[in-house]
Amino acid sequence: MSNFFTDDFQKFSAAAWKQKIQFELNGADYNKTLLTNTSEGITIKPFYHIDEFEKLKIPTTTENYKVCQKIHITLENEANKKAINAINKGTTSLKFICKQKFNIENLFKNLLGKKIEFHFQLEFLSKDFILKLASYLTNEIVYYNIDIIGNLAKTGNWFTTLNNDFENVEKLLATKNLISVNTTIYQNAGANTVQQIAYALAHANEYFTRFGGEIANNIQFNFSIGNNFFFEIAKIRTFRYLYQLLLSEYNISCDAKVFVEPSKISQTNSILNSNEFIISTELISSILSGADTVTNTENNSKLLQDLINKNNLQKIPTGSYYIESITKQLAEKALIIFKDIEKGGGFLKQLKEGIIQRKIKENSIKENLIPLTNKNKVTRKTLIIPITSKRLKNEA
Amino acid sequence: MKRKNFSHLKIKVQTEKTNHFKHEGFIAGTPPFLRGNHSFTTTNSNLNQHTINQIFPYDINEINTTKNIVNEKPILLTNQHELNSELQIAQLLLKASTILKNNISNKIKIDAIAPKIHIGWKTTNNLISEIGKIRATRMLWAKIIQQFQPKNQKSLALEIFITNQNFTSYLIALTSEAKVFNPNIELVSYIKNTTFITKTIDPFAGSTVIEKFTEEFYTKTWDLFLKLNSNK
Repeated sequence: MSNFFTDDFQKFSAAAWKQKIQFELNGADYNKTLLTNTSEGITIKPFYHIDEFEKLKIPTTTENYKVCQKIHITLENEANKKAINAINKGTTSLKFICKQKFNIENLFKNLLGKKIEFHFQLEFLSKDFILKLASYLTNEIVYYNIDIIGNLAKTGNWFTTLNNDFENVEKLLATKNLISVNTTIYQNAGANTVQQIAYALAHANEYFTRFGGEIANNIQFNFSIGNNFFFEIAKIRTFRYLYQLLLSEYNISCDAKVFVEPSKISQTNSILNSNEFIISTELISSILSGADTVTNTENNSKLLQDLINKNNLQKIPTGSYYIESITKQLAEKALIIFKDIEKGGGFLKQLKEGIIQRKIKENSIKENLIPLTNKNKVTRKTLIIPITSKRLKNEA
Repeated sequence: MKRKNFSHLKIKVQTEKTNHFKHEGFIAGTPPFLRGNHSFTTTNSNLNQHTINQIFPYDINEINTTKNIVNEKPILLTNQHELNSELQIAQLLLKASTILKNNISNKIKIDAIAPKIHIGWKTTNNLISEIGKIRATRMLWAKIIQQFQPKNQKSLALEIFITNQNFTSYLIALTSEAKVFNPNIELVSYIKNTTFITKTIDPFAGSTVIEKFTEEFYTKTWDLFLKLNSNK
C-alpha cells in the first residue's frame, strides 16, 4: 500500500512543472500570463511545490476561536436585549461600541457568569469609568481596548494631551487586557498587509518603550481582514511570528491576542448585490488565520455555526507551500519597514511627521482607493494628519 | 525606557517540512492529477459553464451499467444517499468502472468513454475533508483507468462537479480544482477579481491536515473499492 501511487505514476520537480506549463502556454509569456504582482511587492506564482518549501515557525493558539458580535450602545436596555439575543444564537464574544459613559448595571443585566468574552470600544478616555467597569466585571473576561496612540492616528488628536493620556493609561495598567493596538485604522485607510504588520509592531513598541515589555500580556491586537483571501491568512500568522521576535528583545514570551473584523473597504464594493459573499470570504480567512476572536454579522450565522464545529480549520495553513511561502515573504518585508520606523525615531515620531500617513496614502492610490466623503465633515485643527478611511473608486 | 535598537533582528527560515507524505511531489496536469487536471489555473478552467449544460446528472442507482455510452452526452454520477464518504466514493468508482468494463467488452475504446464520465457531489462546510476527498478521488480514478491502458493521458483525468451552491462550495471547488455545476456568474467574477483565490493552483497543497486527510481517504476508499469489486 505504501507505494500505492508511486509505483504507477511519476513525480515532477518544480522545474519540470514550470517547463510543462511553458510548453502548454504555447508561446504566451509565462511571467506576463501567470504571475500576479501584489501591492506588497510580492509575486503570486501559478503553483507552489514542495521543492521550494520554506516556512517560519508560527506560534499557534491552542484554544478554539471565539465568535464576536458588535453592538452599538445608544440605549442600554436595547443593547442588552441584542446581547442576550446574540448569546442565544451561539455568540461567545460581544463587543460594545460606546460614544459616552453608560449605565453599567442596565447593560449587563443577565449577561454575567455566562463565559462570554466582553470587548469595549470606548470613544472617550475616562479613568474613573474604566475602574468602575473593571470592578463590576471583575469575574468576567474583558478587553477594554484602550488605545491612545490609535486614537491619535485616527482623530489627529490626543484625548487630552500626550502626557495626560499616557498618565491615565499608566494609572490603569493594573487592569487586565487594558490596551489594544488598533491596526484596523491603517487597513481601512488603505495600508497593505506588510504595512499593517509593521505598523502593528511599531505601534505596540511605543507602548513597550513607555511602559516596558511586561505590558505585552495586557495588549490585544485588532486587525481588519480584507479580501485577498490567502494574504489575510498569512498576515495574522506573520504578525504572530514577528511579535514574538520583537518580544524576545524584551525577554518576554507571550502569544499575541488577536481580534479580527471584516474590512470596511470591501463592504463599499458593490459588484455584488449582497455583501454576503464578501463577508463569507473574510470570515473564513479570519478563522483560518488563527485569530483568537473573529467578528460575525447576524446574517452570516448559519455558515459560521457550521464552521465553528470544524475545530481543525485553524490548522489548515500549517505546511501549505503557498501560505507558508507568503507568510515568510510578508515577514521579511514587514521587518524591514519596522526597523526603518524604529531607526527613524519610532511610530509616534513618524506619525507626527506625517510619514506613516504618506506611506498609507501612496499604497491606497495603488489600490484604487479614494477618501470616504463625509457630508457633515467639519474641518478642525488637529495635532497630526488623521488617518481616515477610504473606499474603492468607481463605486457609488 | 530607552528606545531599543532592533537593527539586528532576523527571521529564521526553515526549509524542512515537519510532516511529509508520500504523494507530495505529484503535480497538476499529469497523472494521477493530485493537484488538478490542468497544469495551472486559467481564467476559464474552473467555473466555465458552457460545457456543463450538456451534462446529465444520474443518481448511481438509476443508471444502467450495460448501456453503451459512446454516443451519449457526458454523464455525471451522483450519490445522494446517506453513506460515509469513503463508501460513497468507492461505490461511485465501482459503478463507473463497471460501465467502462461493459462498454469495453463491446469493443469500445477506453479513450472514447472514460472522459465521458464525471462525478458529482454535494459538499459540506468541512473544508479539510471536502478538499481532501476531491484530490484523493482524482488519484483513485487515475489508478483505476490505468488498468484499462488508455492511449491518451487525458482519459486518466476525472472531472469532479460540485452540485450545491454556497460560498464554501465555491471555495472548495476553487481550491481543489473541482468544478461547480451551473455556477453563479456574478459570484465567479467577484471571486476571480477580488479574492485572488484563483491566482495559484491547489493553494492548500502541503497543508498537514489536508495531506493527511487525502492519504487516509484514498487508502480507505481503495480498500473498500477492492472489497466491493470482489463481492460483485
